[in-house]
Amino acid sequence: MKLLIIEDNVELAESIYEFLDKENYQIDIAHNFANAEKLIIQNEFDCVLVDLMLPDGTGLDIVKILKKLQPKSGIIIITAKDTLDDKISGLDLGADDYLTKPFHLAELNARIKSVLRRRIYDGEDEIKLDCLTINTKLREVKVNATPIELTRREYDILIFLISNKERVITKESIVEHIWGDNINAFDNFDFVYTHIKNLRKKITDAGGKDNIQSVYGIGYKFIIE
Amino acid sequence: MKLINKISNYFLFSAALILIVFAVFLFFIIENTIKGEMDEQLINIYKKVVRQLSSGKEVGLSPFVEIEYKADKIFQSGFSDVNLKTDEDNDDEYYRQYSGIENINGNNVFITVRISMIEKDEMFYSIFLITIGSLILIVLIIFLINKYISQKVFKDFYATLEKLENFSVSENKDLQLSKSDINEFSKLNEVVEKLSHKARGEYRSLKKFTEETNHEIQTPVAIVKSKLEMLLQSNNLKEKELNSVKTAIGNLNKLERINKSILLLNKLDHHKLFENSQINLSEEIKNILSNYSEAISEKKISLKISIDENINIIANHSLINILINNLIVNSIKHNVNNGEIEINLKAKTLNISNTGLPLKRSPEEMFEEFHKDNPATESAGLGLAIARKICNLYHYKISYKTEDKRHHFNLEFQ
Repeated sequence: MKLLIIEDNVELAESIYEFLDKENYQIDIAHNFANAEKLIIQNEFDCVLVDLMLPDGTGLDIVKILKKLQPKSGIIIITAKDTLDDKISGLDLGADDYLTKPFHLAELNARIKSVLRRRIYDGEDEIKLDCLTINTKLREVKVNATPIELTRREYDILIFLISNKERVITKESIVEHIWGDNINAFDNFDFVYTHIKNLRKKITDAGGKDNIQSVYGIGYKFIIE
Repeated sequence: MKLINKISNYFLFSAALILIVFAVFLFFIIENTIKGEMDEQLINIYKKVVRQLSSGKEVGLSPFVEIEYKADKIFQSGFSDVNLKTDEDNDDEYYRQYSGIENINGNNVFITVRISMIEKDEMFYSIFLITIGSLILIVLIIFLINKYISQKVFKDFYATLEKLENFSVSENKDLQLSKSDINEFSKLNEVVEKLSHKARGEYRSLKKFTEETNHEIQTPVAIVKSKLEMLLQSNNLKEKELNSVKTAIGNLNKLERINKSILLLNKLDHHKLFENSQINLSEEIKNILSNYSEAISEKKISLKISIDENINIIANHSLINILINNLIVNSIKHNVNNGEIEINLKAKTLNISNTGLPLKRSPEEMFEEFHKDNPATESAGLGLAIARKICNLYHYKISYKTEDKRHHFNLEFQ
């Protein structure tokens, strides 16, 4: 997978790079519009992260160029502006997803995977991990060929954890991933535990391995042995 | 009290005072003049009588001329007022008289001449009537003039007042006041216009400052957050350190949410145009509620819902989502364990009521920014302020009241 990160802030770009490095992507970084344009002309990318505010141009123009030159590539917009203004214009131009700064890297990672699945595998992607087989199009989960019935929440949490496998994921980022900005409604995130418990039980009951590891009181980690 | 009435009151008061003083003077002056004139006449008559008597004629016309012959009393001649009874109707009649003793043909004759006099009471009464009459006339005239003045002269003033009342510094144009041909009012308008311009300018720069600050904060927050997340993935950290990192990320998230709320408030203040579409309110409310099933069951809150189907409004979807979200989150957040939430959507009126602790602060402050009834809560107290701003934008009516120990929010979509 070839990724391009267009982000004018060097440190943020570096963090994203570091975080995504584990995923075995080939990653290029551009800190300004001119560089980004050059890279896009010279290379093919599977997914491009575009910051809307660049010192020498706007990310929306990058989206236009991409749509023309590499219509197959996935586009995720990153911006400091909020959802109300640029979301529509960005998505209208054909971006696949939209993230407002500051975001969780785990969230970005999950979004990239989801975009790649939709774009590259046309949504037919089957994720295979240990004993689990997940059809993301049909939202079906099988443990060693035995289908298991998951609730919407359990499924979403499982996908989020798998997208960020081998990483510590805080309960808060799980809640934010699923409930978005409405995290305010919750006094605590203990209910995540209930969903995880049920999820684990369903997998182990079907004869699967328990890959979800609790990390102290912080969160969870999907491990592959 | 209206300014014009205040002035009129002073005017009326002084007019009454002047009139009373004037009436008293008038009374005395008239009385004196009449008396002087009468006395002169009495002397003339007296002299005539003496002349007639001297020429040997009989004179007498009671009660106007009375002669007493063979008077031997010693009498100092002079004027006096008397009160005589008339024969016919026994009424008192007032007279002014002059009496004197004259030696006529060797006899002492006592002569009294009289003229009937206007009664003092009558005169006083007349003057009083005239004074009261004038006062009534003055009041009437002032009333008519006032009416005219408040309509014509104060027209510009009231126009200015009305515009001022509807003015807000967040509006996108200065106050435009009409010209007045009265110096004071045109000066007032001029000063007010300048003031509104200045206030708006300062408000704008303050807004811009807040907005810039909020934007500027976002990138460093994003970097800190990403670095902390990287730290979380490090395999060398012990539980205690991991917990610190988690807490740091949690608080950074809080900062981020406050920041986003302020940005949204700013945006709503700018009255910019948001893209509208048709929204099925009924579905929207149900969707939002289903999002919070965990939060609701966590507190063992029982939910009573009565939602009319297919209530549609036209507005910006994101904003309506935020509006309803904030109200519902509010009713969950500030609820008690085993509490209740009731949601009714009838026609275009949404009622959300919930059990909860009684308010410590006044209900009027409910929709203010950074309003926190319980300072210990984690939220910044911006949710309802945002809800109100969104309502203002679409001219929806939102209100709050406490009834039966419950918090009631009422929202009328138009």
